[in-house]
Amino acid sequence: MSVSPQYWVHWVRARLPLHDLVETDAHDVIAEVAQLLEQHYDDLRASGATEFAAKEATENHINDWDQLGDDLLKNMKSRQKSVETRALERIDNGSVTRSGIHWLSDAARDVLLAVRSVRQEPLTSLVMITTLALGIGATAAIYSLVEAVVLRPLPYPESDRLGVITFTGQGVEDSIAITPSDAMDFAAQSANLSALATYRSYSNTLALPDDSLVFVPIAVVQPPMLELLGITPMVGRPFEAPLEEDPPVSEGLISAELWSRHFGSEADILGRELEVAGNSVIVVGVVPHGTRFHAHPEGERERIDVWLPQPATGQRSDHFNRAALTQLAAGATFEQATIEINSIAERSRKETGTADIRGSYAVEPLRDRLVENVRSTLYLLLGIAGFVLLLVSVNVANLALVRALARSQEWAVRAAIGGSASRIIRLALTESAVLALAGGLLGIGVAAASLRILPLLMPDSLPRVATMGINGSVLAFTVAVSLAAALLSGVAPAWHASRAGMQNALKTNGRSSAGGRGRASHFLIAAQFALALVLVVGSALMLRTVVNLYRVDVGFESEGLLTFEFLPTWRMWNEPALRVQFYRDAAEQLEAMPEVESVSWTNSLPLSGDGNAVNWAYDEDTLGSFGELVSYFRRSMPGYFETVGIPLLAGRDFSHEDVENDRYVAIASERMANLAWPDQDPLGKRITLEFGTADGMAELREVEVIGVAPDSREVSLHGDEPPLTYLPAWSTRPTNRAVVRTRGEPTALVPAVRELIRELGIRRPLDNVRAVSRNIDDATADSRFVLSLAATFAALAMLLAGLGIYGVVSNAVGQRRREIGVRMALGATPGAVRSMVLRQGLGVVVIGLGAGTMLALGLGRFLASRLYGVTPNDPLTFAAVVTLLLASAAMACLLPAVRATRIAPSVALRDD
Amino acid sequence: MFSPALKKGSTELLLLSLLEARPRHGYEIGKLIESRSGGKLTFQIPSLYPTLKRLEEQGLVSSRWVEEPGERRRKFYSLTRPGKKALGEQRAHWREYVETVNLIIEPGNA
Repeated sequence: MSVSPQYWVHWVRARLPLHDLVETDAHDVIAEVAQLLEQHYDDLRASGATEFAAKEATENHINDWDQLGDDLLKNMKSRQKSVETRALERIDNGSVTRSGIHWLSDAARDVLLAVRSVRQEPLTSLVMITTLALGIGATAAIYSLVEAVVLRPLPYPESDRLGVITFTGQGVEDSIAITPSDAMDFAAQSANLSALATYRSYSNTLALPDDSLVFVPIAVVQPPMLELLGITPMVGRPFEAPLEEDPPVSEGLISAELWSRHFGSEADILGRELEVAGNSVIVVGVVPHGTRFHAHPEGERERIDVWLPQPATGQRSDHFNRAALTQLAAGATFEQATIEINSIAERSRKETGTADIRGSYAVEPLRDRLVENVRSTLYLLLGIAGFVLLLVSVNVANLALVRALARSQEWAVRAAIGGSASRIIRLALTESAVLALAGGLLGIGVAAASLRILPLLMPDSLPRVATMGINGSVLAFTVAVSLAAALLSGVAPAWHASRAGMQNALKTNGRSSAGGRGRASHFLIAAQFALALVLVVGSALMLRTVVNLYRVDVGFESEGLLTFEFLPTWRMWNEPALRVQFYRDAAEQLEAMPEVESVSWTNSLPLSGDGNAVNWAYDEDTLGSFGELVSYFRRSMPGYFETVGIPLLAGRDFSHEDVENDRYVAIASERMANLAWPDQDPLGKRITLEFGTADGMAELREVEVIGVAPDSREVSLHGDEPPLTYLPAWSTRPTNRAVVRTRGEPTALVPAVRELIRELGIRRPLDNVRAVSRNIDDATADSRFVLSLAATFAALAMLLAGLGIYGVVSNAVGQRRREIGVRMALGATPGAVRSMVLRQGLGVVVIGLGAGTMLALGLGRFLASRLYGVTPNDPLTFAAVVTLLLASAAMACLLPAVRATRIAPSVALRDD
Repeated sequence: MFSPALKKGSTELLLLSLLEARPRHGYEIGKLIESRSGGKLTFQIPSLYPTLKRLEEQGLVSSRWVEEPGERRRKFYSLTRPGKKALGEQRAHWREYVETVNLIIEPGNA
């Protein structure tokens, strides 16, 4: 009886160890080796060997099976099973989950299977992961900004109990202000406030060891402030408040940064006498590194270099010239504290007879107050980033769907061998999760890189941005966002996979489900274009806003205007005549320079952020309700109007006599004149203003209107603004800001100006030197920030949507080769085929753009308050954006459309 | 006959050159080596077969199952384009090597 071929197959299979070879290859090798042995046996038989001898010789032909197995594995590296597959087999053999926890081994199986299929198509996977990384990274970067600025608790002990005291009334609304009298009373009497400290901060000069002067940020605070902020000097002790105003020497603390930068961190700093703003300060301690003073919503002066105590003079004053930080007593609420301090204030006014202050205080959480201006901007940006993430997920879902289609057979096999629908869905979702987590990991890198670029785009006014970074909270958010993206991008392919499992995809090569995929895919493409339209419309509206803002007539000529601040010395401060003389001398000397047209001085400039407001009245009625009308006011030296380019409409400019004699005269803005005397000549009319007096009290005085000036934008480039009153720069009031009309580039003049001031015998440096046109840049900074991010996201959205439609149309053309081939064989022109492909691709896009238009119209209100000169549903913008997106979609469809026409009918028909 | 080390260094070249003329199956290659060397060179499956697989892995040969009428199903190996190129190079190297070795070992040259 001859040996059957099957005998040798069993013989080899039982002996040759090929576990790590991919199954089909192992099968192949076994068959081939068996065949070689069989032939050897036949040869032996043909040469006359007996059946027994031939069989025995053949069986001994290979004596070291293990060696042969090793050699084969080594020589067939690319056919080896993947790491994941081998791990899966170990799980199945029970060697991994000895504990017997079934679901754990199931989960591990899912992850390994997912990793394997992700690795099987490295290019598609890479595209998906990169796309996800961009979306997740952008969202994480914006989140880390929101986290640092809005969400994170302030770096102070019990920071949730810290509050600021605001006042509404007397023409101001919700402004951080308190009178010294009220501050004293609240601190002494309130049961709901455990501590209260007034503060102010400013920038002034510090004399360095080499006798040069630098500007440093200074905070003057009541001693309890140090406890409120949790400041314990790292060297030395806290300061004590002097008991008199303007003491000859005051105690002070300096920052560790200042100590190391200018004093080499030398131990002998304690007890050293420094000159701060012309006063003597004895250093008694050093404030630790990284201490931040978060008291200004504008984010300014967060790092204080010199801390000085506010004198504890006990002097009462009813001027709202202090700001106060306070801490709630344990268990108290901000509402209780608000009610209590108002009743304290009322009682005290009755007792002291100063009952004419109308308005009320409120205690607001410090953190809310710090971020109230920027919170909505940041949440808007987070919303935009969320949109991008949504779009990215949809894009990846589409790619995953294509992949799921290609693997229909695999899912069908899984279903056939008993995989339940839920198990198949879980497998597909796990695959999305693996992709999304890989995307998240890469996204953290994207976010970290973005955090280096973000600060370049951000307006200076954002508080607390220095602490922005990738921390635990950002990481947790990234993981959550990645999982959300996984779910979003995994649902469609998972659904498809389970359906493919149900249908008998085995025999139809997956085509039966192509219709379902087509519908899902079209829906995803439409969604991408809908989302892209919202983002592009949003950034187009912001672009138009920024353009419009730059076109606003600010009412003065900012180009060619240089400004700088000069802080008078103590002596000049106390001798007004000396100061006024300096202003005149400096102006004359500057005007003598050939590059300078004219020079003047003022206390503030339009759009500089340091304006002042005052209450005013123009007749009996308004006087009766004094405190309701508000006017901005500005003090100026003669020549101001000419220098900044505001031609007076009527009357005259201030004269040197007005300045030197402290005359009560004013120049009204056009808006003020129209409001008070609509059809009359304003010249010679009188308005009543509130002035502070030397003893810290306030008094009402009448002022004669001697001129009318056109309106200028004061605080922002858009919105209603109150009228403006110009007053002469009295000798008793500081007007430290110079305005210089130059003939060329303003900043080119800066070195010459500095030199000239030095020649006038002034050793103090100039502060805030800048071209006035930068004020306008600053006024548009918020809008430009939103624009730059929105535009970046919109560009990404367009790119993704374009790639999405390209992919889908390409794929559809590929699948329809036969059909297109037949059409062309039957005489369809290339043009007809092209337009058929275009029409079908663009049909989906048009539906998406329609839906996106609806969505954008609905979401417009979130942007409305930020727009200027354009409405959120501006038809022109919408039309332009729809055209742009349609054009880009057409471009993306054109390439596959042209390729479709190149299919030769014969080739298309021979395919398959 | 020859030492295994000596054989090992030339197996690839032998296999490639035998596939140059036409595709052959594994058993035939072994037999051809034996007959053309007059029985001086014999290759057993454990040394020949893994080498064939390595050449395939390197893309120098390709294989496919062929079932001819009246014959059993056998796997045929043929030279690929890179395989032809590699054969040319290996052949040239071999000749150069043999000549060099000869130069040294001929008594007259020592």
